[in-house]
Amino acid sequence: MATLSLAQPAVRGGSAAALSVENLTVRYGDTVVLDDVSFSTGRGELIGIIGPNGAGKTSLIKALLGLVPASGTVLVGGRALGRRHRRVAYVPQINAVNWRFPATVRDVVVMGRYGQIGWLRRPGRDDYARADAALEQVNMANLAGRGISDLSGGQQQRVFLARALAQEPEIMLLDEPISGVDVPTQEVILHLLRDLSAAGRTLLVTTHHLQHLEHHFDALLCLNRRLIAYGPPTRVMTREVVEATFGSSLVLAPSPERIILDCGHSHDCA
Amino acid sequence: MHCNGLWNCIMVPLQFGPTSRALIAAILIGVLCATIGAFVVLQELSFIGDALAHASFPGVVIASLLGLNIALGGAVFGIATALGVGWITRRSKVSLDTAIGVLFAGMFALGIFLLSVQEGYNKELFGLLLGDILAVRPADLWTIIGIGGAILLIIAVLYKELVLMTFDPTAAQAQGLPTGPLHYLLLCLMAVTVVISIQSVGIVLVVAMVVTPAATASLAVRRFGAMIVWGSLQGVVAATIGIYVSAYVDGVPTGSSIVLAHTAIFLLVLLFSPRPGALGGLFRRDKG
Repeated sequence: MATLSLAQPAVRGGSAAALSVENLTVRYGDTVVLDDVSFSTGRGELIGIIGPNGAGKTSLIKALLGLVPASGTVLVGGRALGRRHRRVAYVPQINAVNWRFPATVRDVVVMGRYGQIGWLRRPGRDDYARADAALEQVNMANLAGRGISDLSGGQQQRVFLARALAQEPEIMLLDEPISGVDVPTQEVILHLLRDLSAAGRTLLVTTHHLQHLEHHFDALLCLNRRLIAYGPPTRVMTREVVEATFGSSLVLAPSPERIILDCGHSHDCA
Repeated sequence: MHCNGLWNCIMVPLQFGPTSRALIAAILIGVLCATIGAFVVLQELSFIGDALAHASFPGVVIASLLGLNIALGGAVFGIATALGVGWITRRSKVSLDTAIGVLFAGMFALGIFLLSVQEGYNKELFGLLLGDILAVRPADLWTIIGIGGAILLIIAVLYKELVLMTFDPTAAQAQGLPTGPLHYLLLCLMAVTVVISIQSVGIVLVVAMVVTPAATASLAVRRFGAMIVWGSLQGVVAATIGIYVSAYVDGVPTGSSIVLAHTAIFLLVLLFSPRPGALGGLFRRDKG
């Protein structure tokens, strides 16, 4: 099946795309986990990456970061990424680390500076100032001195966001930032992501919380090993695309409120 | 040894050359092990550390029989085993911990075999397994100072990279750090630390020198740097207690008294730690 042709999201300002991906393919051994993915984003866009488990969402993020071998082209602001770059920041899932690690919130956030500080040098006053500014942006300044073992899930997520912000990136790649936190916290984090994109950062966010899609994202990238569709949520979330992305496990209810029912977890499916 | 009065009891062992050398060596090793231990404990590498100590045994035996440097002999076999583990896991479906289990027991058995064909091996075996820091010669002390200093220098130079890799290896990689080489470097530093500590505390107990101070510190402090400082101070205290105990109590191997001192400090901190999860939490009044 060919990729459905949908309008690309409009590029807001700037000539080169914030992120341009061409023919990105990722293989683990003989298994193709991501097949010939091409898309580009404008600056300041908040993009949701959706797809079933094993669709290659995390592989896409890791390939963009250069963490897994991939073929194809990735350009950030029209240029390829070098080593120890600061331009793309990664926000891992909060369960990716051991939160009993002995460190304060500020210690972790300043780690976002380590890549660009360079070898043999310690973080200086300027690096701590940027870390504090990043904590301010995620409303965590009052917890800077707290040990990370005492944080809630939402606070852990905001610490990771602040660490990525301290890197001062153009693009932020977030792996399931609203998983593992309660619903009010999800709203807080989604609003924070919206603020960051309004401030000019381009955010790519994987998620399996489909109820947030239309209200929070500028564009959706539907992935199932290959790119199924890419565009504004209202245009992308059609029965055809949803079925191609998720198979028959999901049902799209008709307008006015588009709601996707996950038949794997719900008894309400027709 | 006999003494009268506190000051006299402190000074008497130090007038004996081997004891004062042993004290310096034990303190240096205590600091070194505790520093590397902070990384080892947080990366959950203690099993590999223990395995490396056992795997270095044939090298220690051969070096001891030929009158060569024990640390060097041990290092050769420790590194060879580490490479062997990598080779087995790449070539077969054997998992990492299984490959380590097979090889370190095999190498340890080889060490016992090599030693047992010599005459009077029981005494030698006892010394190597349990450590005899009073046998440290001036040349051995210089080896510990030189190699230990080099390891501490490497850790100081790469401190922020090693800490980031320990906390969040994927983020470290995403920031462009060479996490693969850093990981192997840390394993090598651990292996060398273990091997130069074997002479003082022996093969069986060396892992406690690495793990116990860091584990104690993790109960008591909240920052990584503080964990290293706490662990190092504990290393100094335990070494001092251990050396004096084995100076005054006949026949107690230094390895056993030093590790017992570490364990006692760990239990005390566990009992009185204010941190949640520790037993101290039971006695703390809830503020809320």
